[in-house]
Amino acid sequence: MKKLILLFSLVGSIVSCENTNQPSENITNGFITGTDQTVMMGSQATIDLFNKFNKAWLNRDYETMKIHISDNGIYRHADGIITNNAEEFIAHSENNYQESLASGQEEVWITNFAFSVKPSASDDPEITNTQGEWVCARFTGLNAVYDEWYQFVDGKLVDWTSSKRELIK
Amino acid sequence: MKNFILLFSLIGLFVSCADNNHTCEVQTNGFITGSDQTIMMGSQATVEVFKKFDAAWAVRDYETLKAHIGSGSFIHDDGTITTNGEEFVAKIDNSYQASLETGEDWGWTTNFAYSVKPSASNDPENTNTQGEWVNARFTGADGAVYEEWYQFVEGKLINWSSAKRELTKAEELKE
Repeated sequence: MKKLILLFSLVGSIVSCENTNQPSENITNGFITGTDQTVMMGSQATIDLFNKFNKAWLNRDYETMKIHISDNGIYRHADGIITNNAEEFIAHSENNYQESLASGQEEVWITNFAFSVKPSASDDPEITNTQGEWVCARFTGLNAVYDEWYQFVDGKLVDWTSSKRELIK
Repeated sequence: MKNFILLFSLIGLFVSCADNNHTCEVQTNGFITGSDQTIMMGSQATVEVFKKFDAAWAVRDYETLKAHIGSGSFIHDDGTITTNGEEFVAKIDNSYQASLETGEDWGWTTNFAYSVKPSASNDPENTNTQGEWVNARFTGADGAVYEEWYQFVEGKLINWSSAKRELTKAEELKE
């Protein structure tokens, strides 16, 4: 009898140890057209990087921004302009800032929310959306609301889009 | 010696049983300014409601759309706000009729959609915890891109917003 208890207890202990090493299941849903990918949460580390980038932009700290912008990326601005490297990205941002000054309303914004997500794995080797993680963020400026996406790979922005909604009429 | 092994094994077994009641940690990150909330994944069920809604919109099935629109706040990319099914449908049909008059193509590709929800809030006036939110991107027939948010509560849309990115200048040059 003692041997049986010993046997089952040892099995229970082993199961217990294995169970504590199990990672949490990735909850995922949704779709990305043209793929079989779904979407899942990213990491707080990517949010921390976004916070650093956003703070630098607010302070027009272009040197910090340059460190975190790839010179081989695609950055689609709300007005339809596309830039591809840090110099172009910053020049466009600075131009918007100077225009805001000229109109008498210095460009500022509130960051309403931000969170990071990532797509599930893909068998297609040409798909690059699995690199790094994506931040979805909303900003409210003086005259408009901006919904933006940031793809960060190894600490660098490689893909960015900005869409605009006029402030409420 | 055998008794010691028996004792520690029994302790291990009890720990094992207690551990079976643990729940997986919910993956959440980010922030919502003005609250202590973070964001986590929603459910596929809400994505399915969105797909039904989007399919109805694409074929201008306004009765199905109205059935899934409650009283709420629906903010269009031009800044117009509608607050119920009738107003919402009137506004989007107006856009459709305008595209007919100008001869522009009408329609879109849904690029992606997924659902999320914020964490609980201690603020009783905070309504963002009701239901779940779908974030979706669309590319219009004219090349413009729309980023939209849908808050569905019990199958009804109660909050919606649409932001627009103009057709890229590089693409315009190619035309």
